[in-house]
Amino acid sequence: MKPIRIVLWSLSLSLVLWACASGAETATPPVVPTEALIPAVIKTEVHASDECAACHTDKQRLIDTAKPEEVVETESSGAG
Amino acid sequence: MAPLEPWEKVLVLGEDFYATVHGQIACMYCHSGINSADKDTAHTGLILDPGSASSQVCESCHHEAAMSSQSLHGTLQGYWTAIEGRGGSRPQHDAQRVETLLATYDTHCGNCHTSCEECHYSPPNSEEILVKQDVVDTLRAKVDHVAEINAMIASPEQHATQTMFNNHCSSCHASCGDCHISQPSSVGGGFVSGHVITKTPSMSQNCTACHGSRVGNEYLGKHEEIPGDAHFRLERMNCIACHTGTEMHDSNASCTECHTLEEDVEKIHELNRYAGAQTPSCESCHPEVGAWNDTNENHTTHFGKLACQVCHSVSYTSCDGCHVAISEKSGLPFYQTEGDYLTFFIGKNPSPNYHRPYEYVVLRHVPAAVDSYSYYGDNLLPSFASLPTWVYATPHNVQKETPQNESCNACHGNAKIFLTAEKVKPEEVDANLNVIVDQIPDPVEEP
Repeated sequence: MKPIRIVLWSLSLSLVLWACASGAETATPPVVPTEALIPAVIKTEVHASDECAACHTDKQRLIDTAKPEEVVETESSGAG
Repeated sequence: MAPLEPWEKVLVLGEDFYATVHGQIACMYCHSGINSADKDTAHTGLILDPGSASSQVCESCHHEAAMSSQSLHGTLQGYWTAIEGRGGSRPQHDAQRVETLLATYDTHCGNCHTSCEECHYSPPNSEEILVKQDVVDTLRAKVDHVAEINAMIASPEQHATQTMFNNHCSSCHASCGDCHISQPSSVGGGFVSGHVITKTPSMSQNCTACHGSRVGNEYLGKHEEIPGDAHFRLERMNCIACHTGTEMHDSNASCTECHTLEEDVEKIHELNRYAGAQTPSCESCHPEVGAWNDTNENHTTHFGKLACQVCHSVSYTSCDGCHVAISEKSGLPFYQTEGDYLTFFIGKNPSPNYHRPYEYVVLRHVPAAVDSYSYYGDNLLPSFASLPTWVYATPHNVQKETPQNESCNACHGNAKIFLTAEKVKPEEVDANLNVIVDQIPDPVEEP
């Protein structure tokens, strides 16, 4: 009888400990970086068909299409 | 700062930008426009600066950090505080608005609206009154009614002052993007980090790009033989080490933290920046100064009587006679100052208060002149002398050791460093009576 008692006590104790441990685990919210919340599919799709991004990330295209800036000599003088 | 090439100003560094949260938002969400490969089509309806007050795109997500209506960077209230302090005024401050409207009716509406019959008619055998639509359309096309109304609600002086402000002062306005994405337009614009939206503005490309001629040059030590501020030289502290985001986004935040009554909050708008709490104060990092256990006798003797800069600043920039106008050649607004020079003068605190009880502060000459706005009208600053031209200043070139703190008598009895009447231009004496030092402190026996 004695070994059976020991086994039963051990099982009960394990059950109690397991219950407590699993409860504590679910109470802790997972730490997810903000960026990871945005699915990778959306990330790539946002700019895939975006003509704005296509041009503004292309240095040569910007050089080719940029309007030369009119240099207006300022008449301001002195500390502003 | 070297100017950026036109293409460089708008080059998005895709790899860096797309790795950020903002890089995962489609361009058109913030900038509108049309998704097209053709440049002109793509730029139709484009919002260049979504962070400007009129667009308020940033605020749609950043409710808490958005620049409030109390941010001086947005409102430029500082200009109006100075202009109104010298008797200038703007349209919405016209207390006699109704009288002004009636007085100006004849010179505005009355020019076109001469008789009812000009625009209305009654068909034969009818009492109905109809509109001659073609006549109305023709007349309406000739007049900018919004401009007319704006002119009517203001006196000519107010209208002129507002026009001056719009042409000159308002160019210093800063939007969210001017601090967090691009260099300010006043220095040519262009992305600072390839459109990566940075939480912390760049000291050189954002803060001192605007605040350069005084704060920037002094803090960074750009004046020959005058060292930069100790906080920069020794600790490499940048602007935000002292000037927090809260201060940038809500200039009244430090006031309204304690002054919560509605009538107090209203008064805050009328005060200048030296009326309230010092945020930051020197003591917030140096709490030992002037404390009961401070072993520095200079501190304990002078604490509360002298602003810290009186002992710890060195020469800083003063300016004279700024005048604004519109160029006949280019049609663009410009300013000219008569001169700038380095000074160090101790003067009386013009308005001692609970937060700044000092008897002495350092004074900087500001470029205001009685005829600064004369291009726009006569006598636009009718009570010019109500404010001093030597103003309370907090130069950003703090040093532990300075010429005036070498010994007691380097300051006491040293007339050279006090603003006395003979150092003030005769025409400005009246304006500066409350800051001029009549009697400089007597020499003392050195310990």
